Parts: sequence; C-alpha cells; structure tokens
Amino acid sequence: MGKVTITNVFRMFTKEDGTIVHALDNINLDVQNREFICIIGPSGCGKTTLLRILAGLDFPSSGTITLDDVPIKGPGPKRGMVFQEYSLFPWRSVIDNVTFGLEICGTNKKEARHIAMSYLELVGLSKFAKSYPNELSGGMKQRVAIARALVNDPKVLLMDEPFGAVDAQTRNRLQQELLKIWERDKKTVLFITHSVDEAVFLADRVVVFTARPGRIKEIFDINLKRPRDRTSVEANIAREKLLSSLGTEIKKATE
Amino acid sequence: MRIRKIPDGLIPIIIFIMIWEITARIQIVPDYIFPPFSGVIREGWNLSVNGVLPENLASSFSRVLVGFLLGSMAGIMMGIVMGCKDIINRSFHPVFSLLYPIPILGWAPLMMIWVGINEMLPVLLIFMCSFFPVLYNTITGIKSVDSNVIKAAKTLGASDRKILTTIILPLAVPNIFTGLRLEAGMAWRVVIAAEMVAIPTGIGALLIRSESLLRVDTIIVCLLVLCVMSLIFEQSFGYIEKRMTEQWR
Repeated sequence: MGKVTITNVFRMFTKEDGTIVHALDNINLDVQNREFICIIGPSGCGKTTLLRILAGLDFPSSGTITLDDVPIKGPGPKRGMVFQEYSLFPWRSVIDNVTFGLEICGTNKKEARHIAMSYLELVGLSKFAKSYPNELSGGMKQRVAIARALVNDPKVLLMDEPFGAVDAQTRNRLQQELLKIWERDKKTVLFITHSVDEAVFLADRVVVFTARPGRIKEIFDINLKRPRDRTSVEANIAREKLLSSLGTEIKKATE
Repeated sequence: MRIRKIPDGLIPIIIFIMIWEITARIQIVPDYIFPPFSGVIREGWNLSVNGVLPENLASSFSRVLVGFLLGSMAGIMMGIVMGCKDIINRSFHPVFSLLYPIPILGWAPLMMIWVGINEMLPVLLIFMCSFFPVLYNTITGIKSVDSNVIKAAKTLGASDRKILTTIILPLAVPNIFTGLRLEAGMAWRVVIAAEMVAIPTGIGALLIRSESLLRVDTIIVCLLVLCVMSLIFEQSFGYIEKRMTEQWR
C-alpha cells in the first residue's frame, strides 16, 4: 500500500530578521495508493517544503501526515526521494550509489549488488555500474538517482523537479521511463514540476498551489488514456485549463 | 605523469651542482668555509658509515613520527567533533583561534619550563604544530559537505552516525590530507629548531655541533637530509590524497 493522507498541515518559518514566513497554509490532500500526483505552483510556494515534510526531512508546524494511517515521524525506507540536483555520492561508483540504501538496511553485499544491478538494468545503466558520477551526463545521473531511490522498494516515490535540469529531449525520455517503472511497480508518486506539459503527460491528478502562503488552489483530474499522446486535442485542453489556473498565481507571485 | 616531469627538473639541479662544484674547486674561499659537492657527499658517506647520521636521523625521525601521529589524530578527532556539533565548535573556536596564530617555536621556552628538557619537548611541540592545521582542515572538510547529499542519505534511512562514517568522513578526507601534507613539512622544521635549542640528539643537534666545530660539510649534509625527509613526507601525503580522490574528483 501507499496511501498518503495530509491533514490540516501548516508550516511556518522564522527568518533571521524575526519575520515569520507562512510556507504552507492548511494543506489537505488524500493521495490514493498507486496514484501519480503532480504538484505545480509558482516558485517559492512551498511545494518543496511539503515534499520535504513527506520525506521526513522537515516537520509541519501543525497538522498530520500519515502513510497507510501511520504518522510520518522522520525519514524511512518506505519513501524514496529524488532531488533536482541529483545529489549522488560523488566518491561512490554508480553501483555503490545504488547499493547505499541496502547497506544501511543491512543487506549483505552480494545480494545488495544483485538487487542494485537489476535496478540499473531497469534504468538502462547496467553498463555504467563501475563509472563514477562525474563521468555521467545529467540524464544518466538522474537515472542513477531514481535507481538509488527505488532500491529499497519504497511505496511512495517523492520527486522534487527531478527532470528540471536536463535538456528537453532527455526529459521526454525520462518521463516515459518513469511511467514505465510506475506502471510496472505500481508505486504512489508525488512529483513536483514547473512544467504544465510534464504534469499533463504524467499525472492522474495535478495539484495547483497558490503563491505564498502555499495553499491548494485547485486539483485537476487528468482523465487521459495511457499511453498518452502529448499532441492530442484532449491534452491541449488540459494544458490550457492548468495554464490559466497557474497563470494568475504566477502573476501574483511576481507582483 | 609526474615521472615524465622529473628529467626536466633534473637538468637545472645538475647544472646547479656543477656550478657549485666548480666554484668551490677554484678555491676563492677556503674548502672548510665552502666545500665542493663531492666533499659533502664524501662527508655524508663517512657520517653514514660511522653511524652518526643514521643515529641522529633516527631520533629526529621518531620524534616527528610520534608527535605528528598523535597531533594529527587529535586534530582529526577534535575536528570531527567541532565540525559536527555546533555548540562545541562555538565553545572551542574562539580559544583555538587565539592560540593558532602563535608561532609554535614561541612556545618552546614555556614548554621547557613546564615539561622540562627531555624527549617530551620536541614531541609536544610537533604535536601542537600538527594539531591546528589538521583541526581546521577537518572542520572545513566537514562543513563543505553538500547538504543535499546528506539529505539524500537521510531519505535512504541513514542514521546520524551512519551519515558521519559513510558520507561526511569520505568527503572530508581530501581536506584532511591537505592538512596532513602541510604540517608534514612543518613538523620537520619544528623538530630541528627544538633540537638546536634544547635537545642534544637529532639532526638539529648535529647541525649546531657542526657549527661550533666549523664543519660546513656536515652542516650541508644535514640540510640535504632534511630536504629529502621533508620532501618524502609531503610528497607521500600528496600521493595518497591523489590516489584516494582521483577517480571521482
């Protein structure tokens, strides 16, 4: 299972000059098991904060978040996270990056390598197992990061603009590969993006955030048949609706 | 790559030695003030055969090794604690930043009174001169670890202790070795100075004795030995540092 329930979540920060920043303002969201959720919103709207709280790296000022009805109290192997800046371990080879999560859980070395290898195959990088991160392109690094997050077989995959730093072609391919993995392993995915195209191509539901303080403005169901056609009329209509909802928020954020 | 560079650098050194040899043999100044290179080598051979040089080198070497090992280990450990625990960093940093700028040899007279003139003196001075550079380089190394990498490790289930041993320390190693390399040369400077002023054994003592006996050839032998020892120390740490990081840096 991988049912995430977010109830009345607030998050306030106190800045160094003493002013209080409302990052998240009363967030309520029920994410079904195996659902693919995209979160979209203006920069600085608190979507990354929400994801960090889900990962257990940050905590809500008030409110609760549960995974399968168990409150989240810190990081855990049931939730895997992929960061925009890859955040690979530079001194470890590709395979050793992927085995890290298994080593922490105490899996023996041989078995860990075996499991890691199968995930590297899944992301098409088995030939690069012995390479180091500095030898890889951005797209390849992010594939390693995805394999590393998947290796503990998490129920929920948290992705913070994972494809924001790669070129458009690579991004399209990574999106397709991610959907393939999602369909195969049937995980719950929460995926932050800046791109309306990406959201419409990937998500079951798209959550639009307001400018700060971050609230949920609207939730769109994307009822498009999979595999999706990026150029279909229906996709265009969905993009238009999303864009107009988002447009007013981006305007507010920049004013 | 480094091996190919050596012949290049060797030529100026050979020319330098030749000029030295020739000017000395012209005898503008007498031999005992400015001996030729060949004379220095002969003296070096004599001192090695009769045991004077190996004996003194061994005592200097063991002092450097003991002081250096203890000082760096203490520096690394204190650096880890200060790098990880902000409260400890803020308590010790102000004191250390007052002590660090004092030239180590400035402590010598005080230490002579406090610990006496014995084997402890040079070891303690080397300990102090090793401690601070390694301490500061370790702290810098720990502080410069990318916080996103730590977060990634946390989401993979790593505890604070695991993060220290599997993430922070491997990433801090290059900085730690920079500290070790810097102080390795320093340790030799300090031991010589301590032996010159206080301790009757070691290369520093041999230097001072040769000065009073007007043995310029012995003095130059000592200087050559020091040059080689400092170089070996610095180069080997540089080499280890490179080997440990060349794959991923």
